[in-house]
Amino acid sequence: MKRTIPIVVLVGLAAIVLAAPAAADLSSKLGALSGDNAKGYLSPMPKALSATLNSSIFQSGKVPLKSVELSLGIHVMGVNVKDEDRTFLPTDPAGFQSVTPTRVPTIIGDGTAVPVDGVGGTILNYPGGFDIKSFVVAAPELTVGSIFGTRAVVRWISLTVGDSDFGKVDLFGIGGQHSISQYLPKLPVDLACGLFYQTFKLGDGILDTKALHFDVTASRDFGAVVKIAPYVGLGYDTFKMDVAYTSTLDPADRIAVSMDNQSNAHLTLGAQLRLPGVALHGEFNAAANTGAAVGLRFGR
Amino acid sequence: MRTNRFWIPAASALLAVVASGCLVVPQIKDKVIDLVTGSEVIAPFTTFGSTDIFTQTATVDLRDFLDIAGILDNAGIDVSDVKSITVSGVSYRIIRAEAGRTITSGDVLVGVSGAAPTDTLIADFSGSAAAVTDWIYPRLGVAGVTQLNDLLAGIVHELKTGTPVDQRVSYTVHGVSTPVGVDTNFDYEIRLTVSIVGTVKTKWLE
Repeated sequence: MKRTIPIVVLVGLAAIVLAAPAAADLSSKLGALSGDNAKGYLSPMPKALSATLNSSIFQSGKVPLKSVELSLGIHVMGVNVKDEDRTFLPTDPAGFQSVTPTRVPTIIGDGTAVPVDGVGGTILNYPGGFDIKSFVVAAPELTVGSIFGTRAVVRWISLTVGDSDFGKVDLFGIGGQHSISQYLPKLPVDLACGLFYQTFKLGDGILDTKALHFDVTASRDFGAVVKIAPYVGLGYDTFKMDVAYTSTLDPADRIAVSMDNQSNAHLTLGAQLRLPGVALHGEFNAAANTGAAVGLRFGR
Repeated sequence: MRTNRFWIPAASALLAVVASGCLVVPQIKDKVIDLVTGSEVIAPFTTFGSTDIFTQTATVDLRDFLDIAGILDNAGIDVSDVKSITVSGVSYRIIRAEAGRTITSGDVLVGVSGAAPTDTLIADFSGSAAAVTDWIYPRLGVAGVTQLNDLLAGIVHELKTGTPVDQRVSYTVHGVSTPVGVDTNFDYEIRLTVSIVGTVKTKWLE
């Protein structure tokens, strides 16, 4: 049996991964679709992934000119998906002519396959979705700083998920923040600009994404030992997603699909609670999708 | 300080709301979802010796062409979880040409499970056999496709219950062959594309 189990679940102690559990099922679902329809099926993904991956990167505008700081945390980012994104109108593949246009599930849509009646009594089935109401990504994040008012931020996770047939999950992100406050010392808030680049890969080349986030974060600390620091971020996201899968009709046919690039403004409102050695943050994001994120980090 | 009196409660409230999970509560949920997979049945035919009115009858056993168990295994669908198998398309192509040969007013009749081929699967096709072709999608007849869908439903029943089904499919291909008086001599294939739906269990973090 090529696949001993139809699902993969992985919940690590520190790293929980979003779509990875369904990597193999995703590949199977795409295999029955033409390139155009795979694009329609996956159409909610760029927004959802852009909004999650590009969130919860920077939680403070305060970047000391020079200090020793090292912290490691886990960030969980989620977005709610929109009802109108649950279906799409497919394009008839070669040799099939639908009797009436019928909307079918996207990846977030209902889990039941939809049979579409074709001319001559044919029936073409479209796969069900994963019936997703919200989309969650979690990633570890390492912060190192600071020198010349600059800190580095790294996200990285690389996992082989369950059975090797399901392939790997790779998330890598690197970027940094540079203090603007050092040039504008009279500002009432701490201000920093940040840039962060991420790649996220799923399965054996099934999903390959690239995300770029730029923002300016303003924050202010209140308190002495226990600090609470509200922050606001204004930024811009770009997101690129490529998909490749094998047709179930012709295993020699590897279908590559490039989704439309996503770019949008990004507003973050959040607050960080800092105790010695521990920080907890929560934030609201209005970006490609609206969502929220939480994070817990240890270190200084 | 007035600023502090505003910011601290506001930030605390926001942090509390988000961190408490009111907005995001990641959970792993079990899901039962439908997968769709597909396959093709390609039956080759050689024409030879007919003149003027071209008629050819053949019988294929789907068991020899359609490895349902293998398809399901690759898709990770258990036999007991198959929901349907249906015809999603029928097409044909010329794979060895005969110079100058044309078939007009053609049709393909089909019968399943040992029945004579009487129901129209492909209606009123015309085309040149003078060159090899890519797959051609003809106008289909509802009666023939329904016969095949009924047979495929029977195969699903066989998979689930073990009750064997006669999976033979008989075709009659008929048409006017020109030039007249010269034996017809070309090869072609008929392709049946099937769509298979089955459920699988999965988990999703949301």
